Amino acid sequence: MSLTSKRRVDAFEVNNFRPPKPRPAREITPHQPTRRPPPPPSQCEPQTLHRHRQMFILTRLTDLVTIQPSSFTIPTRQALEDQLNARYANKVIHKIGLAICLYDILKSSDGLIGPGSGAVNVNVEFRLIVFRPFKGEVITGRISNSTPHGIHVRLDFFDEIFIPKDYLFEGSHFDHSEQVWVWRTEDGDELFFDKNELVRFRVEEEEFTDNTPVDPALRDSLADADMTPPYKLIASCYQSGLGVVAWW
Amino acid sequence: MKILEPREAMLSNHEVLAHVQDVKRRYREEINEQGPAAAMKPGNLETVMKELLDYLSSTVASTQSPASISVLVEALVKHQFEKIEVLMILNHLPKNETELDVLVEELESRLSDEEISQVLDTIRSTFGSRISDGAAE
Repeated sequence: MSLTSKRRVDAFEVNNFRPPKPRPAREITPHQPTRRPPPPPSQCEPQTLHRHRQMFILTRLTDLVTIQPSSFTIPTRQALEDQLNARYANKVIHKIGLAICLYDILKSSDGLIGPGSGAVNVNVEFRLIVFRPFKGEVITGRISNSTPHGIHVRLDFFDEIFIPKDYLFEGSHFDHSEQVWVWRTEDGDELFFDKNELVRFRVEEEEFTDNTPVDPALRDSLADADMTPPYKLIASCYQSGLGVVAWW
Repeated sequence: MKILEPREAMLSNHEVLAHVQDVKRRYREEINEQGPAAAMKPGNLETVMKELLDYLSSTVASTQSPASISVLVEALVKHQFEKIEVLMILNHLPKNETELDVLVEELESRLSDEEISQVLDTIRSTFGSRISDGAAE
């Protein structure tokens, strides 16, 4: 399947996830298979822009970190940082985004030693840098491949971006012999979405899939396990200024 | 694990780049002080930091500095942009009107032609020729 990631990222089960504040009705819920045609430019109204989001955000969390006795020789701060990075870096947190790395540690409790082991348990409050572009944000990335269904785009650190064919410029068609999308402009020029070109696109939808392991007895088949990426973006490319960067 | 605040703050590409570079520098110092054992950082962290550096250093974020950013942000405040629009302009540094129009909704009804060219001039004068270098990557 071309939709699956080359690099698997783990999904996190969020036990104490606090649902986000109610969102405006215009937002599209995840899992909804939407393939609607692009809205006319006049409909790209400002309310698709949510005010408090940006490509990279800071998320504040608490977690219990266990430091093994073998790590007692290194400074506690450093040990906590390594543990937190090992746990979160490059992983998708469900409904939050792709965690990049630790930003800072705000608070940490005294270490507590539980019965049965010499390990120290510390409650830590910290902030993570998270990749979570908002709907309507414009990002540049590279084309990784094209199919008759659309174009797959990657950033160096995130591969799951897809531009469906309905979200491409009007007058675009797929060239089967070259395996590229071609945009025929009103002037009759042909512009190519070549592989590895730098493209600018707008984020339209985001999809989170909870990949928490399911009891094998309850699962339909082993094949569908872990097939869907935990976090994926649907993007568009139908406005002047979007598309291959070199065009404009 | 408990999420206290899903979106506490937003970061511009430059801030993320600066943070990652800072972390890398700190790790190098740790190796100098504590010996090669300290070089053992989680593999997933190394992967994402390298890939992120690859990505961000190909964008205009690598040409910015806190000083040049504050100059630009102060100039943009006059034009009543939304906060995220300012951040997107910062992340992209549009070179012409088409590129600015993508980042700012309803650009033409909100800003006069004069103001638009003012904004573009500010960007050009603050970041100079480096814009084209970054975007041409």
